[in-house]
Amino acid sequence: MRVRLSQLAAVASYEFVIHWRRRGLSLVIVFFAAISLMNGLAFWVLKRDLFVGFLTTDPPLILLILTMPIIVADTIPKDRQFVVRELLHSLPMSSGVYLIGKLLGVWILVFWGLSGLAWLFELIGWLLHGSYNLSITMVPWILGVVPLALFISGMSVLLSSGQPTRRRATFVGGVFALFSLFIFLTASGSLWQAKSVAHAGISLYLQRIYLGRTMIDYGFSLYSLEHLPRVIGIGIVLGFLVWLITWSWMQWKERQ
Amino acid sequence: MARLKRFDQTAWKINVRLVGWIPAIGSAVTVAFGLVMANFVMQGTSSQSLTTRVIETVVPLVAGLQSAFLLSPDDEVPLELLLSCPRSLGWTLLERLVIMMILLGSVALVGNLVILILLDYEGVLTVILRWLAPCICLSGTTLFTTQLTRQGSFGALLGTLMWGGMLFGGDALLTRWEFLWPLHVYLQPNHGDSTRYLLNRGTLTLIGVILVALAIYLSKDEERMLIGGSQARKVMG
Repeated sequence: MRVRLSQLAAVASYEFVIHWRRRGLSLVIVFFAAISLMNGLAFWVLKRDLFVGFLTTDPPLILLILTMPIIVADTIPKDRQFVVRELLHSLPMSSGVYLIGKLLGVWILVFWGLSGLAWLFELIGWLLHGSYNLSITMVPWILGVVPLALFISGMSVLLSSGQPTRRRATFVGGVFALFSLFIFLTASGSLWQAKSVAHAGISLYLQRIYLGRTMIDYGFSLYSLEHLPRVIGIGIVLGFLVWLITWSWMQWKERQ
Repeated sequence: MARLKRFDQTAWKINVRLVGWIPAIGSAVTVAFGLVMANFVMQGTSSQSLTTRVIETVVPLVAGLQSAFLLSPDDEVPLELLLSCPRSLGWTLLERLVIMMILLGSVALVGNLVILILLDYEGVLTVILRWLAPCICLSGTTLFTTQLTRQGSFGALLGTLMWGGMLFGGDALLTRWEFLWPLHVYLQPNHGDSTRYLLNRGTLTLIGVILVALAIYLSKDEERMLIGGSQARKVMG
């Protein structure tokens, strides 16, 4: 167990360093921050709520949904393209550890970047507004942006993991990004009530409920908390299923 | 004579294989799905305008994403081999671009034919210009970005950003800064008079062609292609 944990930590930390050096993921977070800041400041200038401007408008979220899956899609295929997988196969490391390590590496950077941004935005809010209730303004981050980013980046890594080249992986990431955007733009109550399979995305739904129009219409109320268990449950089951399918596929390929 | 000789040095077959037909098939399926959804499922006045916008939404994005990886120095495993050949890398890039445009253009033209039969709403030139100019502009942008950064994913990132930004925020951009109409990738023919629309399409095409030419120019620098601009400068002292 200890060996596995140390392997996991090594894969995750190395993946984190690779993504940090490649700058792509950091660039996405910087773009997200820039658009959110511009929105927030525009709202503030227009004498509207600064925090609504920071996070409840669509442009920064659309940017996140469109770009993040594309950037992280080649996380696993690049090892195959540069023939690193063959080397990894010769080591006593299981596919499960490798897969979880890769996912964690991406998630640490995403989480780290977005947490930094949340802190920065709260600081700006404090400087411009003075004292305010932190528990309300943190809701969009904790239940919205961070789960959304973790969900779309994780799904993109897993869905594109079977591709032989980075080019094909990026295409898979692109298709997933478009699919996510479609869900995001059409995630209204009627479609959800129809129990569409497409609505299984935990964060995409959370995003719509907490940060979308509902949030503005109901003045930051936790109006839709009743949906939370169902959404989280479906999201976790979906994520686990995709992970399981990817892991099984890798096991099967290794045996071949 | 030496320049003419280059025309013999084509490698269409292998480049067709490398460009791949999957994106073209994927865009054909998406266009067909979009046309069915817009024309038969959706009702009311928005149906007609959505039908006409399906091709211009799908095809340029696929072209942009594919262009980003047409010749990505970081991903091209036999790059050193390609550079050692007498044929310039620019030719390879151009060949792949032409092949991609033919494949995606065919998909778009078939879609145009369907739209013309279904709607009889716009002229032939308009329905073609709707997707052709964004295609060239987005392809040029992603191709140039990839050559500049040596990473296909950066090209794809910028292409997707530009596509998303213009599709969802282009009209809002014009509301604030009207003078930017020549750069709006998804300007609609009914936004102004026909001259304005033609000028917009012409500008986008010109930008795309210039960026493609710049990308080809960048690909001529062999050291840069192999180890990157800053590294090459360091090595060269």
